[in-house]
Amino acid sequence: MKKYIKKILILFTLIFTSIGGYSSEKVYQLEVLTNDLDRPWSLDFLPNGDILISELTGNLKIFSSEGILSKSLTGLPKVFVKSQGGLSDIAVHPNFIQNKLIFLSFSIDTNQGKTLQVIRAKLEKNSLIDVRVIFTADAYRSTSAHFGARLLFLKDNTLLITSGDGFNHREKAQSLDNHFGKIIRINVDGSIPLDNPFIGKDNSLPGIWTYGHRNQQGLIIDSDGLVFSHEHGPRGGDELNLIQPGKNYGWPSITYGIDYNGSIISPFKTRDGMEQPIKFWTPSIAPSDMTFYNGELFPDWFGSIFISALSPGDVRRIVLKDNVFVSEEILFDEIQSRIRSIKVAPDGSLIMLTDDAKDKNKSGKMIKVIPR
Amino acid sequence: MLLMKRFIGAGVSFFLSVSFVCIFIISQNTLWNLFWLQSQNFDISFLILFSSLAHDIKGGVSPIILQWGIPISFYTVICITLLLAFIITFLIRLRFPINSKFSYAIAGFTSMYVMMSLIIMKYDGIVLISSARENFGLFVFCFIGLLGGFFFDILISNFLKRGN
Repeated sequence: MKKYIKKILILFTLIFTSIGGYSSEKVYQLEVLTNDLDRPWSLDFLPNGDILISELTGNLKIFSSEGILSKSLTGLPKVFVKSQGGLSDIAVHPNFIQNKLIFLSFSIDTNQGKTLQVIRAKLEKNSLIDVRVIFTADAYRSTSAHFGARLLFLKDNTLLITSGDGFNHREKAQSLDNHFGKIIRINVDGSIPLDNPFIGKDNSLPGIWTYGHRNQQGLIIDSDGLVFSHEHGPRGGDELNLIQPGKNYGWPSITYGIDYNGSIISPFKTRDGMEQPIKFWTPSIAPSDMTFYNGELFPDWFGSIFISALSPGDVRRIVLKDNVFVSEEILFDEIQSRIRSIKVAPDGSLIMLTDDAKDKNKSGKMIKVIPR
Repeated sequence: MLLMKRFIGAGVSFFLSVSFVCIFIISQNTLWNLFWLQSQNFDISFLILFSSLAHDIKGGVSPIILQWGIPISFYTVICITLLLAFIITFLIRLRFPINSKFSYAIAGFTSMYVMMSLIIMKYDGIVLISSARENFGLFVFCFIGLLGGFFFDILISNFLKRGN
């Protein structure tokens, strides 16, 4: 009997200790900024403190620094909206104050099929003017899936664009004569930078920067100028990669995932000339966006990479040392929703978008993470 | 008793023909993937071939579709498809006595095509079986259904003869 009482006491002590530990460990609190979004996909910050928000359904809205959500801006391009297709990423030009330029990625439906397009436009009040198509991916498909569509400015003000494998065209990710499964680098006027790695090579599109990707929806640059990308794997095999120009990231020749029908896509996981991920996830977490934390509000998080995930719906804080994986912490799973996007705000807080795409009665939220 | 024997015979014939179709369709998919890797200068040994086939045949039991919240495996999809196809063929043959081998074979071919078309429609153009993404692969996919129907008729005819 004494033995049992002792065991029960130990158990209670452990439970209370863990509860106490959990609450004291939580260094943040969540604040819902708006819950009136319709499948939000991405966001970016304007110099005046406003936030631009894209909705997959084709809307671009401004959440003002006073906390008011605008109606959709006018002058937007015609967007193909279906399944994973729609208005996707936003990138505000690093010199926005001077040139007022923003960049949008989205899917279009053409006579040749559906593909990814990027435009640039000037933002004047609540409308886009001087809209110019600067990139159309040579990745036409019948599916409405795997567009990639993430945008990122490098320090030389060239623009990186991720282009997914279109699902049915995965083998083309290994060929350089198309934009399936590629990261593309262009100048802001749509021209090709002269130092791109495949310029002048036979059967290669000059805009290609890296290849062998699946569906890359996270793309960041860290304080040292290193570029990281993550991509959805099939069933398992989501990857976080260090991106270097000219490299082959292996899909679908090597992969840590298997196909949705349970079969092997490739029995190979490594090969000379193909890059290994920094980290992979099996089972999949469905990584949707990524940000590099360089803010001051959370000193313990400085230098971490935050990856938003759709499945089961949380954020992964990844710590790297010399580009090698050190640790992973699961955060914000109490939101219990698909986290579609995550960005560091200029004030050092984190801003997240939840999409709740599967439940039409739920609205997408924008949530701010601030210190407790 | 005779009815019972016929019923069991039909069940065993159906089970064997469905197994045949499932295994061959999965094997087609495996070979398709391995052929492509070989074209990329990967060395595909017999060990890789057999281990991949074994993995994929086993992997076919994992869910491929979520319908009404119920996870359904690829084998279940094939099973339901062929069951419907063979029942419809049986009913049609009651009214129109077409050659049985021919009718079940056509049922197998058509049902595989319809099944793939419905899956593609449900998933906005996505073809979940990679080997069926090209026309030739899709033809082979449906042809396996045709062989399955043909096989089903041979088996059920034998069972019925024995039952008599």
